[in-house]
Amino acid sequence: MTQLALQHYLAVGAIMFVIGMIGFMTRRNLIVIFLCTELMFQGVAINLIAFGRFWHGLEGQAFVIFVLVIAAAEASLALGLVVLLFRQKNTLDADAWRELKG
Amino acid sequence: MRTRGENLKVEMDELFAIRHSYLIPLLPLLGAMIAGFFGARWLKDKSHWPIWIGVGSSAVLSFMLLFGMLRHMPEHHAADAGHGGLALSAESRTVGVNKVFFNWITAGNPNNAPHDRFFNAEAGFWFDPLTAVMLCVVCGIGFLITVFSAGYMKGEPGYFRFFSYLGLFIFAMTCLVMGNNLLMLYLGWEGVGVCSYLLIGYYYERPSAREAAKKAFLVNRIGDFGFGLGIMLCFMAFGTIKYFSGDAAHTGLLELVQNPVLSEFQRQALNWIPFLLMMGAFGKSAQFPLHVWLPDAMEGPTPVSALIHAATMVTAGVYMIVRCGTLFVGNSAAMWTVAIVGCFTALFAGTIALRQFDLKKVFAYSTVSQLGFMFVAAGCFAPVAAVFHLVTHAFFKALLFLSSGVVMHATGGELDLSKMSGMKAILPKTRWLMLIGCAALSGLPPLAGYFSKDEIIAASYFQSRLLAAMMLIAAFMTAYYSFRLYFRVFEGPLVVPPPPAHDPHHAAGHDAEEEHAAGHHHDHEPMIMIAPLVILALGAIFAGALAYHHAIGNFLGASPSVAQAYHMAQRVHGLRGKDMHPLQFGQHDVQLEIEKLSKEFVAHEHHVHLTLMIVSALIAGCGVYLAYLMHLRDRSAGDKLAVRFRGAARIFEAKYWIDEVYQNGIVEPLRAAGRGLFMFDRLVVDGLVRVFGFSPHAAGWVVRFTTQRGYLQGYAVMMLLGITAILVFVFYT
Amino acid sequence: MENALLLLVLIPAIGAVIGAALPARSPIVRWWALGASLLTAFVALLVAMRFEWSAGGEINTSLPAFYLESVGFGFKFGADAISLWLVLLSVFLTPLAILASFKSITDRPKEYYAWMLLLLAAMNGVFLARDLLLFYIFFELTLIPMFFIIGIWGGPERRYAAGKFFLFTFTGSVFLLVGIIYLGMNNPISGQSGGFDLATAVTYAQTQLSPDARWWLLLAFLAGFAVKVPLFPVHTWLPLAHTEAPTAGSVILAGVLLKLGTYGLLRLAVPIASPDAVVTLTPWIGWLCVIGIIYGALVAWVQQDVKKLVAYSSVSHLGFCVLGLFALNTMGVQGSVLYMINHGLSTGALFLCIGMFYDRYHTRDINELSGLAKVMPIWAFFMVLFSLSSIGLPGLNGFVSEFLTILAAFTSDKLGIPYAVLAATGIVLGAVYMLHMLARIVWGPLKTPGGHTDDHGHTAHGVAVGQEDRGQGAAPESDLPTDLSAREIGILIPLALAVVILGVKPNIILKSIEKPAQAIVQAIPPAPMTTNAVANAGK
Repeated sequence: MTQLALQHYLAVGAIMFVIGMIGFMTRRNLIVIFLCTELMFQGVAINLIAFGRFWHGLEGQAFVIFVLVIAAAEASLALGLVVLLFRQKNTLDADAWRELKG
Repeated sequence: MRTRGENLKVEMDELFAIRHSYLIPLLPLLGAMIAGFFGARWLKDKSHWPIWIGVGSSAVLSFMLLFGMLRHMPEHHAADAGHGGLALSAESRTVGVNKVFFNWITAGNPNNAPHDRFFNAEAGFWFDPLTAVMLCVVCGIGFLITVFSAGYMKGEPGYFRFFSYLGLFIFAMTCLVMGNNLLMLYLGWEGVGVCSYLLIGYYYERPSAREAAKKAFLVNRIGDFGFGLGIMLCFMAFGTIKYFSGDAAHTGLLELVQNPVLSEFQRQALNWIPFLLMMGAFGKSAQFPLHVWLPDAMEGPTPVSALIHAATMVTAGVYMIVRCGTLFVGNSAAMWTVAIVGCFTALFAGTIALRQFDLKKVFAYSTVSQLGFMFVAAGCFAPVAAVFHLVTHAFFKALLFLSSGVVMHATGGELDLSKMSGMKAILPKTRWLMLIGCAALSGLPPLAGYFSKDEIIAASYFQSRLLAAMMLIAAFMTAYYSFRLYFRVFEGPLVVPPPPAHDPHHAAGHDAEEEHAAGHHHDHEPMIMIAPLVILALGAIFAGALAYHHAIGNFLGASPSVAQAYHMAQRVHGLRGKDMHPLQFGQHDVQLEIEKLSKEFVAHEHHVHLTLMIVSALIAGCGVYLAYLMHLRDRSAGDKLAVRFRGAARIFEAKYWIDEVYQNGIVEPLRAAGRGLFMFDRLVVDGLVRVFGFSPHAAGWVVRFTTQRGYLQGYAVMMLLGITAILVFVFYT
Repeated sequence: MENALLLLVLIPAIGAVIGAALPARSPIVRWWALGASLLTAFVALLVAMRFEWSAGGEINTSLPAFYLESVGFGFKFGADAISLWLVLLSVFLTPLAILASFKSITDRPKEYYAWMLLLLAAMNGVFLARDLLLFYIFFELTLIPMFFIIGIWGGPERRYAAGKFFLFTFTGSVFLLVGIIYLGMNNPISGQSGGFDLATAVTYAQTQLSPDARWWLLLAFLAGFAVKVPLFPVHTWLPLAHTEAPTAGSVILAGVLLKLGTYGLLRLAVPIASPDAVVTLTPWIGWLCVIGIIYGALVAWVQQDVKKLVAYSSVSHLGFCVLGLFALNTMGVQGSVLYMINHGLSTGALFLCIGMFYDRYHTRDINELSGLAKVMPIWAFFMVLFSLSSIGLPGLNGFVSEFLTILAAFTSDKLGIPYAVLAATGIVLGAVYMLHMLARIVWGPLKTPGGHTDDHGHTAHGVAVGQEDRGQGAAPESDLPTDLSAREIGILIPLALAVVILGVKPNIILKSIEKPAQAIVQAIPPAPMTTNAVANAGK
C-alpha cells in the first residue's frame, strides 16, 4: 500500500479546478456557473493544504480558512445578485445580460 | 562762412509756409474730422464750411510757398559765370529743404550691422519747386472743386460725408506730394487710394458703385505690391528711403544712386527698382494694363471725378517718376518701358474714347490717354514737359468734368450724348466753358493744352520719330473725340433728354430731377458752380504762358530731383544732345552743355520744334474739322462711318474686352483656387487630423466587435488564453 | 512695483473665485467682472508707468515660499518690455470683451464672467512667468476657461468646436511639456536659479546643450507653439473655434490667445535654436508662413460666414507675424511683436463689430446681409476703419507691422527676397477678401433677414425708404437700438484710438522693445553666405 504522496493531492486539486473551469465555460445557468467558480476555489484550496502539509507550515491552512471566509461572503452576495438578476429577466441565462459587456 | 546754397536753405527754412508746413495737410484733416463727426447731426448742410476753410487755408499756404520759393530762386547766370565749371555742382543751382517732424517708423539694430539692418522713416516733408507746383495744383484746384461741390452736392443725404472724404483726400494727397521719403509717398499714395475708394463708393447702395470702388482699390493694390517691394529693395540696396539728405553729405536715396562706384548688388537692384516703382505708377495713373479701374471710377460724384480721377490723384504716378528721376534715368530699359507704355495707353484709350457715349466715360478715357502723354514725356527724358502737361491738364480736365457735372445737374443725371443736343440754349455759360475745355484738351493754339502737348511731342521726337508719329495720331484722336462730344451735346437742334424715370444709376438722392420737373426757369447754372469753372477756364486758357521763356522749366529745374536726374542721365548715357535736351530738365542755361552743342544742332532743334508746333496745331485742327463734319454738319455721317467699320467700333465699345480678360483670366481662377483650397482645407488638412483622431476610435470598434461581445464565457476563455500565454512566456523564454 | 506683477495674476484670479461665489443670476456679477478686469488694467498701467521703457529693462519677482528646490521650480514672475506690452494688450482687451458680453450673455452669467477673469489671470501669467513649468501651467490653464466659454456659450456646433480646440492645442502642448521637462531636468540647480528658471534654462541650452539636443528641443517647442499660433497645416481648429465662440471669446481668442503661441516662439523656441537648426528649419518655417499667408487669404475670400472669413484672415496674418520672427533680425522681432499687438487690436475690434450686427440680425451670412451702412452708419464707420487697419493702410497700425515683417524677411540673411515677395502678395490678397466682405456687408442695397429687402439698386425715393428702415431693418425682438448703443460705441472708441495712435506713432512700441529684441537676436549666429548675406555685407 503506497502512501498518499503530494502528487495525488495536487492531481485531485487540478482535476477539481479543471472540472470547475470547463463547467464555467460551458454552462449557461448563472447558479451553475457560480457553483463552478466555487469548485475552482476548492481545487486551489486543496493545493494550498497539500503544500502546507508538505512543507510543515501553517500558512497554507491559514490561507484556506481565509479563502473559505471570503467564498462564504461572496456566495451570499453573489446568490443575492443572481436572485435580483432573475427577477429582472425571469431567466438565469448568463447571455441575457450581454449588454452589460461584463 | 556759409555757402550760397546753405544761405538759401536758411532763408527757405524761415518761410512761413515751410515753418508751419504741417498745417497744409492737417487743416484739411481737421476739417474732415469736424465735418465727419459733427456733420451728420449738427452741421448738416453747412458741412462744407470746415472743408472750405481747411482746404482754402492750405491753398493759401501752398501759394505762399510757391511765391516764397520763387523769391529765393538762385540766379543762374551770375553764379555760373563766376565759378566756371565747378558751379555746376547740383547744390548751387537747386533749392530744397527737409522739414522733419518726428521719426515715424524706427526699427532694427541701431548699429546697423550687416545682417541686422537699421530702418528709419521720418514723418517729414521735402520742399522744392516740384513740391510747390504739385501743392498748388492739389490745393488750388482742390479748393475750387470743393466750392463747386457745395453747389453740386446740395441736398444729398450724405452731404457731410462727401466733404469729410474730400478733406481726407486733400490731407493724403498733400502728404503724398510733400513727403520726404518713399514711405511717406506710400502713405499718401494709399491714403488717396482709400479716399478714392470711399468716394467712388459714395452712392454705396448702387451695386455698380460698390463694385467700381472695390475694383479701383484692388487694381491699385496690385500696383502697390510692386511699389512696396521697390521701396524695400531701395532700402536693402542703399540703406535709406529718404529722397535727399538736405545737407552736404548727400546720403539721400536719390543722391546715393548717383554714386559712380556702386556695389554689385546695388547695380543689380537698380535694374529692378524702376520697374517695381513703375508698377505702382501704372496702377495709380491708370496706365495699361492697370487702367481698368479709372473708367469705372466715374461712378463717383462728378466733382470727385474732376478732383481725384482727373486733376490730382491719378497724376501721382507721374509725380513719382519725376520725383525719383535719378532712379529711372540711368536705366534705358525702364525709360523706354515708361515711354512705350505711355504711348500705347495714349493711343489705346484714345480709340476707346472715340466710341463712348457717356460724357464722363469719354473724359475718363481721355484722362487715361492724357496720362499716357505725361508718361511718354517722363520716359523721354522730359520731366518738365510731364509736369507742365500735368498742370495744364489739371485745369482743363477739371473744367471739362465739372462742366459735364453742370450738364448732368441740368438733365437730371442723363449723360448719354446721343440723347441730347443743342444744350447751349439751356446752358449758355457752360457751353462756352466746355468749348474752352475741349479746345484746350484738343491742343488748339493758343490754349494751354497746345503748349504742353507740343513739348511732349517734341521730346518724343528727339527719342524716336515713330513715337512722335504715334503721339500725333493720339493728339488727332483727342481733338476728334473731344469735339465730337462738344458738337453733339451743345450744338445742333435742341434736344433735352426726358427726365429719366427713376433711373437708379444716376439719380440716387439727386434732387436735380425735381428741379427739372419744376420747369426750366430754375437756374441750371448757379454762381457757386460757375465761378470756380470760370477760374479753371482762365487757367485752361492762360496756363500755357507758364512756358513763356521757359519759366516753369527754370523753376522745376531748380528741383534737385529734376536737376540731378539730368546730371545722372548725362553721366550714364553721355550728352547726346539730340535725344536728351537740357531744356527738358529745365537746365537751359548751363553754359558748358550749350557750348558742347554745335550751332547747327541748336538751329536744327529750333527748326524741329517750330515744325512740330505747326504740325500739331494742324493736326488738332483736322481733328476738330473731322468732328465737325461727322457730328454737326451731317450727324448721320458719323453713324455711317461706325457702321462701315463695324468691327473696330465694336472693339472700341467693348473696350478691347480687357475687363473680361481680367475677370475670367485672373479673378475667377483665383476665386476657384480659393474654393479649391477651402475644400482642401476641410477634406485633406482637417481630414488628416480627423484620421488621427479617428484611429483610437477605430481601435475601440475593432475590440468591441471581436472580444468584448458581452459573453461571460467568452471573457473566461480570453482570460484562460491570456494566462496560458503568460505562463508559456514565463516558462519557455 | 515688482510685486505688482503678482497682482496682475492674483486680482483676476481672486476676482474669478469671488465672482463664482456670488449668488447666481445676480445682476452685479457682470459689473464685478468689469471692475476686477479694470482694476487689473489699472495695476498694469501703474506698472507700465513706473517701468523703465528706454532701457527695455527686466523686472523680476518671485514667491520664495513656493520654491521647490528638488526640481528647481518656483513661482517666478518677471517682465521685460515685450511681456509688458502683451500684458497691456490683454488687460486692454479683456474689459472691452466683458463689456461687449453685457447684453449677449444671458445664460449662466456668473460662470461666464468667472471664466473670463480666470482667463485673464492665465494670460497674464503666461506673459509674466519666468519659470518654464509655471509658463506651461499658465499656458495650459488658458485652455480650460476658453474650453468652457466656447462649449457653453458658443454657437450650434459649440461642443465639437470646444473639443477640437482643446484636443488640438493640448496635443501640441504635450511636446512642449516634454521639451520643458527635458530642459528643466538637465539644467543644474544652484540655489534659487537653475532648474526650470526660464533665463538660466535658456542660457544653459545656448551654452551647454549639444546641437542635437537643441535641434530636438526646438522641434518640440515648435510643435507646441505652432498649433497655438496657428501655423499652416495645424490651423483647422481656429476657424471652427472662432465661428462657434461667443463674441467676447473670439475677441480674446484672436486678440490674445493666438499670441501665446508667437510669444512662446519668441521666448523659448528662437533663443534656443542651434546654428544648424536655424539653417535647416528656418526655411521650412518661412515656407509654412508664406503658404499660410496666401492660403489663409484665398480661403478667407470664399467664406460665407463673416466670422470664418476673419478667422481665416488670422491664419494669414499670423503667417506674417511668424515670418517676421523667423527673419531672425532685430527688425523682424520688433515687427513681429508689433504685429501681435496690432492684430490683437484690429482683429479683436473686427470680431466686436461682427458681434454687434450679429446681436441685431442673428446671422453672419454674407448672402443674407447687405448694405448695413444704411441703417448702421456709426457701426459702418468703425467696421471700415478696422478693416482698413487689417488691410494695412498706412497711417493705421496694421501697416507698420506688416511692412516691417516683410522688410525684415526681405533683408534677412536667414530668409530672403523670395519669401518677402510671396508674403507681399498677401498685401493684395488681404485687400481682396476684406473689401469683398465690406462690399457685401457694409455697402450695397440694404438687405436684412426678415427686414426690408431692396435689391434693385436705389432710387431717389429709396433714400426715404432707407430712413424709415431705421425702425424696420433691425431685428424687432432685440432691445438694441438700430445703430450702435452708447455702450457699444464706448467699446469701440478705445480700440479706434489705439489703431490710429499706433499707426502714427508706432515708435512708442518699437523703441521700447528694441533692446529685448536685440538681445534675442544677438544669440543667434549669422547664416552662411547667401545672396542676401552678400548683399548686406556689401555695405
